[in-house]
Amino acid sequence: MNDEQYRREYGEHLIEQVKSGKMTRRQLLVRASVFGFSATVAGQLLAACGGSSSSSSSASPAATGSAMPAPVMGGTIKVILPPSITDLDPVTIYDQGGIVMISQFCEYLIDLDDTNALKPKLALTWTPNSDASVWTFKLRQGVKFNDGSPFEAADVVASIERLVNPKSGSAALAALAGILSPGGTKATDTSTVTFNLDKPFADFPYLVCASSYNTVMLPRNYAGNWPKHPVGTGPWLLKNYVSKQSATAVKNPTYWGKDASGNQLPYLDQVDWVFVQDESAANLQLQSGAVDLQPQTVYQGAQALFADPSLRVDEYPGTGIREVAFNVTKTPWQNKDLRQAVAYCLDRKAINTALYAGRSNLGYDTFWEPTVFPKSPTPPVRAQDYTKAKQLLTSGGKPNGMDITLTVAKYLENPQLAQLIQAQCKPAGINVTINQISYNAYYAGTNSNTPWLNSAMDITEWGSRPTPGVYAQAMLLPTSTWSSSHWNNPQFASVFNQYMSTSDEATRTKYATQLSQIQQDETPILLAFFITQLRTQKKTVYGVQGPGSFYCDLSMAFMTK
Amino acid sequence: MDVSGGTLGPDPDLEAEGAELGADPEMLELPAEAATGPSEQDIQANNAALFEQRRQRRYLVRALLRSPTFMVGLVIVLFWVFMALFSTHLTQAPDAIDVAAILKAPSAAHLFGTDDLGRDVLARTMAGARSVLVIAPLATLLALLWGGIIGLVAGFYRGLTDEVIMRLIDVLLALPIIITSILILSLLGKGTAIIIITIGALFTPVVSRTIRSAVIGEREREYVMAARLRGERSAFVMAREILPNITQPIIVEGTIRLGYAVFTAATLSFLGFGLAPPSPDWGLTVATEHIFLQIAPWTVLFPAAALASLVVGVNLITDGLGRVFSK
Amino acid sequence: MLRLIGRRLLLMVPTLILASMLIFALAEVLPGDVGRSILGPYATQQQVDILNHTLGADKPLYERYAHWASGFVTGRWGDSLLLKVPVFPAVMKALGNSLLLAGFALVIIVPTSILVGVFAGLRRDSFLDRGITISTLSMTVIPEFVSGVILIWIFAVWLKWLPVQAMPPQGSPFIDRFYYLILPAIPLMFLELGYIARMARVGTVQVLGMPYIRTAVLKGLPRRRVIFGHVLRNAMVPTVTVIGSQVGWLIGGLVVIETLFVYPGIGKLMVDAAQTHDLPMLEAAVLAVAVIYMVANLIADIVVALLNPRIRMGG
Repeated sequence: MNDEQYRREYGEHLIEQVKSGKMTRRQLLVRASVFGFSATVAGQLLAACGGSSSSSSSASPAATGSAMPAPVMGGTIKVILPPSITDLDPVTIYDQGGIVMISQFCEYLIDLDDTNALKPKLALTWTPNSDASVWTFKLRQGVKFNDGSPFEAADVVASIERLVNPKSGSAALAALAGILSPGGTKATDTSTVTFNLDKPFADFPYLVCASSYNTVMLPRNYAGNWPKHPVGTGPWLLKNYVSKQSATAVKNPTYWGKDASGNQLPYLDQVDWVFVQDESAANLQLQSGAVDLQPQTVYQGAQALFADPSLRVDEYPGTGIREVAFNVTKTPWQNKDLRQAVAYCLDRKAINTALYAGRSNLGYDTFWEPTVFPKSPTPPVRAQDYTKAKQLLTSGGKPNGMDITLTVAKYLENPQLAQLIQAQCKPAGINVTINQISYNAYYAGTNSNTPWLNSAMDITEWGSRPTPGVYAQAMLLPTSTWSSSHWNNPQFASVFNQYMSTSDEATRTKYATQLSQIQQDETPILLAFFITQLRTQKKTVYGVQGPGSFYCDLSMAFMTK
Repeated sequence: MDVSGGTLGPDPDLEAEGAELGADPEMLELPAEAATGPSEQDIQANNAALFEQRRQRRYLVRALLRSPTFMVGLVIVLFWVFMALFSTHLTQAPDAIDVAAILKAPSAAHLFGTDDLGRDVLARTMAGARSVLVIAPLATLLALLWGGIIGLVAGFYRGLTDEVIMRLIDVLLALPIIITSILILSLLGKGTAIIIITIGALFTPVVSRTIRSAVIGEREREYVMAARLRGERSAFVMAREILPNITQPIIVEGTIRLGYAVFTAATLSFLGFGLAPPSPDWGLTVATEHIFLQIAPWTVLFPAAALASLVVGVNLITDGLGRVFSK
Repeated sequence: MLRLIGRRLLLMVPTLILASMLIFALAEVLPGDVGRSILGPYATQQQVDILNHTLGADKPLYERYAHWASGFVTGRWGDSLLLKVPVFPAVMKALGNSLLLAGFALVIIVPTSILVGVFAGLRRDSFLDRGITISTLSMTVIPEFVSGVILIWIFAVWLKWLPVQAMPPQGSPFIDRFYYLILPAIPLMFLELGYIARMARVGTVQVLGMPYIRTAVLKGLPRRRVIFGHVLRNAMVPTVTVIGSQVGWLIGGLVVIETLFVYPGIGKLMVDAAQTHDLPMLEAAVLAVAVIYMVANLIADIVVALLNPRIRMGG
């Protein structure tokens, strides 16, 4: 499919979304302009959507603005969430349960808004030097921790230094590895922090924003044991916490946040959290009215929620993926043609239909995908093509097909994705054997023997990351700590460094085009889609914010009667 | 002691307390008679006994065939055996994914509806019998084999051997089954063979208890004492004398365990320790599809009903056997 | 009799010791380690190794067992490695919840099942007997994850008669617990009804076949008295034994029910602890359940001995 066809298809996709009520007209305008359509074209798309307004069942009122009623002060909201596997320790939490909890009470330097764009939170501005190797953050004034101490640069330094110290056991260490080392964070005055990076990194702000979930700001004298002293700058105070069961949060009367009209945030008085692991049990709680909100809803089984008249399911843009990695150090994946052969077996549209009812965005084996990361160059589309797949098999040395193993954890929709890949590879003569293991077994072991980093081909789920650069840093470079593919491409690595060494948009786009092309051609991983997130709430709940997998900002949430 | 239909009767430990008052045959020592060849009378007596045995067996079989409980159960089980062998020739392909027909209600095209990947539920339900009918019987046979040996040894020798064995069995029984199966399966890995071994091992303690009770009951009979007075070796006594006489309780126990084996295999699949997709195994299917129960109940109810019917069928066979044997 | 009880109680000790060793050894060979469970998949290997060393998880097996055992027997059950809460109160609380659910379910199931089983046994081979046998059989065979979801859907979502989870909100009076436990107890009843009723039926049939019963009836004793005097008592023998052996499962095996109904019982506690290598929690929970199982069996055997003097005195 050439560029023109792709643009036409994307335009049609936008129209279809609005017509079926999955997107509002305003969202279409935003997406269209970001994609690069001219105003004229955008207007034509709007006109093609017809005169009827979209149904409100899936549109996010937060985006439409005009559809949202006026905020109501006070009240208690009940929220349902999976339990945290470990105790609440902001430095080491890593699952959704832990992250959503901590982010209620602790805050980040930078937030992400509903479209994954950076939004000032505890930092007001962040400026790079000429080659993005030194970043200067100016902090918000007048913020206090809930223990009364003021939030200042020294707290930022202490928080970040703690994360890059191996002894604290934080996953943030690996995210910042090679970019920020101990000693690199300095307070130049009480409200300015300087980050001296090990190497230029234009996406650095994204590494200290909300999607880097451990980078919350804690007081400089924080000595551990957070559950005993739940300290933070956030809008809520932790009143009660029972592991794996429930928690209660009350509004923080000294919270620094105010809304656009100057009203004190948060609007609500109290949040009651219920921890439920099983998805079907959680859905039943929503349907029976026992809870008001579920920050992230899993697609499988959510069909009942879509159909429930008392609930509203919002979609918001997500960049979460299911990485299907080829371990390029293991047979037969050393050969690029064989990897591409599998890529051409995939019917990505069918996969999207089967797993997400068509609501997610298609991916074409490159992170630079404009429908989810605006400003990305447009990649060529990869459609299912068995002729091409067979050609590639032959040129790859397997003219009669091949037998491969796909390792997958029994988690979310990963088994279904594996079965779809298996079925779609069959006509080309590629026989996939599915090796399904438990979630614990998939991640168990040391880096040199754990299945997720050492299988020949596997599927790993990733929560939303805000830029393609953050993703590439995590799993596509030779130095990446979380690379299931073990891809080592010097050209990609060197262009990536240049991509990260400048903040100039035009230059970055040029490098991005190159990077996207290399990644798609080499196909170290398959990316068939980027997952649109779902959030379920009662029809009386408004103002819940935050994109991505681990985010639930309730500071502006309220409930109408 | 009548063990029809029951897995656990009164605790043999308590029985033993009472039996302490009686003489212990092991204390009797008599000189072994010199072995001579069988006489003419012996051979005739032997033949008469064999003839009697065969007649009894035929009577039993006829009684079974007349028992409605047994026959209904047999029909059900044979239906599933037939399906396990031939269903793929009769139905659509159980693995055929069709993304355009996801979670569709039963219709002419799909009599039992479709699942979350558009596959035909009827085909998968029929094909799902295969894995269960391989795993459950083999696991049960393993349990009978291991449990039988342990039960025979413990029940025959009594004394210290028995005490030690039974205490070890108690340890195994005290551990929650869920934990032990998770631990064993995580250790041993995947595969049908592993599941069979695990379930067999899980049931061995209970089986050994039952067999031991039966052996204790038989042990005091005259023919056993006669054999021991004749000087037969213990192994011989166990295998040739006692074992044939406890076949009834063994068979009953086996069929009961078979029902539980089916159920356990399904539960292990539910917990994620079973077969790999795209296997249409009932337990795996219910585990994967139960989140769709509200919007697409057919995806869960048909495999669950199939599972239920097979276990009921096996239990009816047990019941029928029990009724016939106890007459 | 007392000698018997004493001997059984004494034998519990080596059994528990062996069980604890077995669990330790088995958990050792589970994939993964506690450091990784605590820090998650994205921490570096170096970080995980540091944590494992701090927790003593890299010491040899016997050393770790000795360390744990010495703490355990002196009442120091330690803290959960994952949740950082003391093990003893956590296990006791979960155990209490499970006992409450099991007790509640048994109180309803046991009399019902016995009545049904005896009733079927008295009318042996009749249509009613067959009907009861088959329907109770069918109920035992429905996996609890299927019956549980269907029940929640019907009673909590559609009809809204019962609450969707098994724990009342904090601060509710204790009596509310039972209202919330009704729904989760029903799948248990399905599963146990068949088993217990069948035992009661078998016991009834056995006793009715005994010569002395026929003699009693021939002698002119009223049938009702015969039934209540002898049949019931002897039908209880296999029944009580079975209930005793089922208690272990009812306490520790209800992971699925606890997951579906969001009930903080000990089954789920054990499974989570096993999968995350939280050994202090796992050992404490398993041994607690083992003790209850053995005590329940002992009580069952005592009751059986009381019911049947023949067994007691070895006639």
